[in-house]
Amino acid sequence: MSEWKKPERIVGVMALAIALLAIILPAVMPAPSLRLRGGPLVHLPFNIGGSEEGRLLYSEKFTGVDRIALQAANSLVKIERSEGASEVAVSIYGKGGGHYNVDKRSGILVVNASNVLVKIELPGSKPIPLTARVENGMLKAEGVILDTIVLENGMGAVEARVVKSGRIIASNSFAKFALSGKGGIKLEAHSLNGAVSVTGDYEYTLTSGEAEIGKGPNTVYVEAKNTYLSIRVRGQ
Amino acid sequence: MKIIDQIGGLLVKPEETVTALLHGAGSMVGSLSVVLLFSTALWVSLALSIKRLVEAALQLTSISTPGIVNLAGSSVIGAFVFIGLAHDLINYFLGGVVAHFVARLLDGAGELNQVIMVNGYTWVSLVFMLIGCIVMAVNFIAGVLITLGLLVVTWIWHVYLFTIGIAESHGISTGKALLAAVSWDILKLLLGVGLVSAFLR
Repeated sequence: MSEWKKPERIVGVMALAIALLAIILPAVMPAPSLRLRGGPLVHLPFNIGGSEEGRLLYSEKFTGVDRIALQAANSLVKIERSEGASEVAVSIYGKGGGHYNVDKRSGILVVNASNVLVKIELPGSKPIPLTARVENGMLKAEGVILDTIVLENGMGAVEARVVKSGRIIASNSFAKFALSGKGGIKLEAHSLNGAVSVTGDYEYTLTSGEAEIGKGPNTVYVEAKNTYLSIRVRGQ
Repeated sequence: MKIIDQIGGLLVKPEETVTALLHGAGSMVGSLSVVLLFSTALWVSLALSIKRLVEAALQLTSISTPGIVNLAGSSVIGAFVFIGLAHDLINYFLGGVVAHFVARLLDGAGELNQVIMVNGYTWVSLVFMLIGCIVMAVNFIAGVLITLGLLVVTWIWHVYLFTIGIAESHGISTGKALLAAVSWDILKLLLGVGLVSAFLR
């Protein structure tokens, strides 16, 4: 038998190889990914609370809604037109840990929510005035009349009609608005460390300070602090 | 007999190899080399695995300090390996001394240096734990579980080799040699229990 075929020689070489591998492998392998139930925590995507649909927590339809007053924190709010619908439908989704309260008081639909996804379907025929305050979340709205929209640390995409006056106040946010108003819209814009970029009937960019932009019977007060606001204006 | 054959022989032909080691094939240098080789491999591997686990844990947080982790990691690895080696060298010598005196008490007639030498060669059994360390590099949880399982196999193989060596060198029965082989472990266990009791009192 050749010396290299001796079993103790072969096993000896294997033992040394194991010793060597035991040092080399942990040195060259990447750090393990710690996983918990639900997937790895290592590469957590940035999720706005409630941005994942989760399960339906609440669903109700309301008639005779003249106005919507909404406050949402750490939530995603979607307000959409629904052609053919005659009622306002509110659905709230979540994955647990969220809170919500929906109530209708003398024509005003009041929605308070945190850590959930709020979906509101509006009748397509008639826009409804919207007063909304969204913190640490996202607001997507269409088919509304602009009353007051406040965004803090959030994102927004709002398509609204302006009737006489409205207010957009945003801080540490990024949002785009599409505003339409009969006879034109005048913007009273204030910007601090941000920008208000206006397109549509007229084009203007305000990076700091104050400016009156455009003209018309409808006035929108715009305040942008550490925020980029893109506003498309169209007179009807 | 080359050291590589001695290492392989202790795994595939243990009785034949231990007898050969005690009758001229083995040496204190060879014995110490085996201790240093396998002990270093084990402690370095464990230290690197712990470092990888710490890195993984840091990824869960938003702490991003690779420089500090590397610096601290190198120091901790060095200290860990040093302490591990010191622990194994103490076990190597004291384990041999205690086993020798117990064998003497049980009518043994061997020499201390032979018992210490055989004790050193039994470090070959760490190769089982090193297999677990390799698995740990690929899958941490599975590796830890396998290493813990192989820890038992390692200890059994160490006791087996040491028992053969003590029986051969002291000319005593396997039962008495087994008692001598595990005497140091029993003593450590009793010392540990005693210390814990003293602290808890």
